[in-house]
Amino acid sequence: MNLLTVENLEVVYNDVILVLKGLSLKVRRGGITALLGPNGAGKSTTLKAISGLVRTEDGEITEGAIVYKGNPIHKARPEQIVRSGVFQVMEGRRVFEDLSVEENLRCGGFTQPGSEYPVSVARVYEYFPRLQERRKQLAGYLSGGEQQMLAIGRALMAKPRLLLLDEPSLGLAPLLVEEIFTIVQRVNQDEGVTILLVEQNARAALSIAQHGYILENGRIVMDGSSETLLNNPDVQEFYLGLGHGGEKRSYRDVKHYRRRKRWLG
Amino acid sequence: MEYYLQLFVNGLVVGSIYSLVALGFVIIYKATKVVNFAQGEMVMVGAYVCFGLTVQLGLPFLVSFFMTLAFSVILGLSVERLVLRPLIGEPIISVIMVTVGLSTVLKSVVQMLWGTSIRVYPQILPAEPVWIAGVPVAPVYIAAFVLAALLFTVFSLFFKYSRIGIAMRATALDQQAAQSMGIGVKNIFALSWCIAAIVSSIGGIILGNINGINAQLGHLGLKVFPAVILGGLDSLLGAALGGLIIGVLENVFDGAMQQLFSLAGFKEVAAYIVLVVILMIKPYGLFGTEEIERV
Repeated sequence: MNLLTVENLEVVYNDVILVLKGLSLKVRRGGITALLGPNGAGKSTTLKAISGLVRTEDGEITEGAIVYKGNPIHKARPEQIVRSGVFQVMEGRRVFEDLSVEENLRCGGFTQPGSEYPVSVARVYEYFPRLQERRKQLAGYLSGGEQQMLAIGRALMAKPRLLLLDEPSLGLAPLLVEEIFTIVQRVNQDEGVTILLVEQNARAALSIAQHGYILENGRIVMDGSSETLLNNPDVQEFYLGLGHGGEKRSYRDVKHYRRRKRWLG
Repeated sequence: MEYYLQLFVNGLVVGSIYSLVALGFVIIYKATKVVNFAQGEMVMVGAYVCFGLTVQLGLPFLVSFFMTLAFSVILGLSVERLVLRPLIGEPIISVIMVTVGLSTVLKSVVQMLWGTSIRVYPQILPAEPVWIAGVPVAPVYIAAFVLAALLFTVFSLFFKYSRIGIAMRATALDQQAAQSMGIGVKNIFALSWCIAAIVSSIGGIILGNINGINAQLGHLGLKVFPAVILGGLDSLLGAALGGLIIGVLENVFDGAMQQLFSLAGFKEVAAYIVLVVILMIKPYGLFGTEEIERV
């Protein structure tokens, strides 16, 4: 039922900075799960802990467990985790700028046998026809939206079972965000890829996710189905920017915000 | 005129060896962003090992050639394992300083084992010169040039088309992103040190066949430096052309200075003069990657 379970996870950076303070979450197989929260809450860290990349930046999992398909993976190396079917699309797209689109895609398929490349690349071009038009171009010269498409396409090359998406909407125009999210949803439905989606754009994320977690200050403070979250007055206020009853809020309410926040934290 | 033509041909051959060693430089720099100051000493080690196997143990040249290559693989792997891996995550300048130290260690070990006097390889190719365009050229020169050209073609294709080659370039651009793709960065580092050790050894063996070897062979690394910077630190084509250009220029300059002004020793500085001029015009070198800026 659950493809991934994170239990009571603690991550420490540089031996002193405690970023995740006992975080637990479950990702249902075949679904889209959203992980929301403000800047610095630990969303990216959570994803990096799952994909093993946290150790490449001096972070360490000091407590808790990450269980994928029934096996603990929190001690595995990033390349082993990719081979087991977990792929992280990093924040900020991180395409290889001096490699062509095609070469970027080949890197994505690094863990797959070379014979599967033609099929996989055709599938990626089907999702993103624009990448095919630009396949000989250097990735650095693509637009932001195209780079995000390339980053997701690169992930598909690895045939993941669990895709960790870190802020795919970052720096993109609203229409493009919609396009990307539609494709994410298609990938989820057509390929049966389970998705854990980290977002600042709560509205967009909850529109495609079935379940959501809200992370603040290294802890999960709330979770529920997307509908529950969308209708929750606190989520509406703090993440969707609506006041109670939908009216605009004034600065007078800041005190109230602080108090609510303390309660949430 | 023939004098200069001869100098030109000599320059091409010496240049092709510079190119080979430069190739090692570029591969390490491309994959790990480390400037390897021990490259010249790796040339020396290769040359001495092959010398030891052929002359002191009396093995046939081809056998010792391949054994030297095998030794280079081990050398590359152990340098990466023992010297560089503990430094992963440390500032790049520390790693570069370690390569400076490594160069001294390698040099001292060679001097301990073989002493400092000049050693000569046995004659392998015939001494009888081949005439090309009216210039006598020793067969070993031709072999050196062809071998260098061949290695360059192989490695260019490797980096352009093979999965591992592309992964190596990706690692050079963004290590963490490469890791997120399942590319084992440590393996890539080890591989690049192996390749660098192999091409350096081949360069050393060729040099030994031409000039004989002594403990100063490691200084070649400093000569190769301008070639690499000239071509652009991260470009294979640049390394190839940079090596050839430096080789030809230093020979022709030196010859001209001796003939016209009877000034000797110009060879040592010619490369650096060219380097300064080129860098003023093209700061990334001839073929180096310029930073992509999207607008």
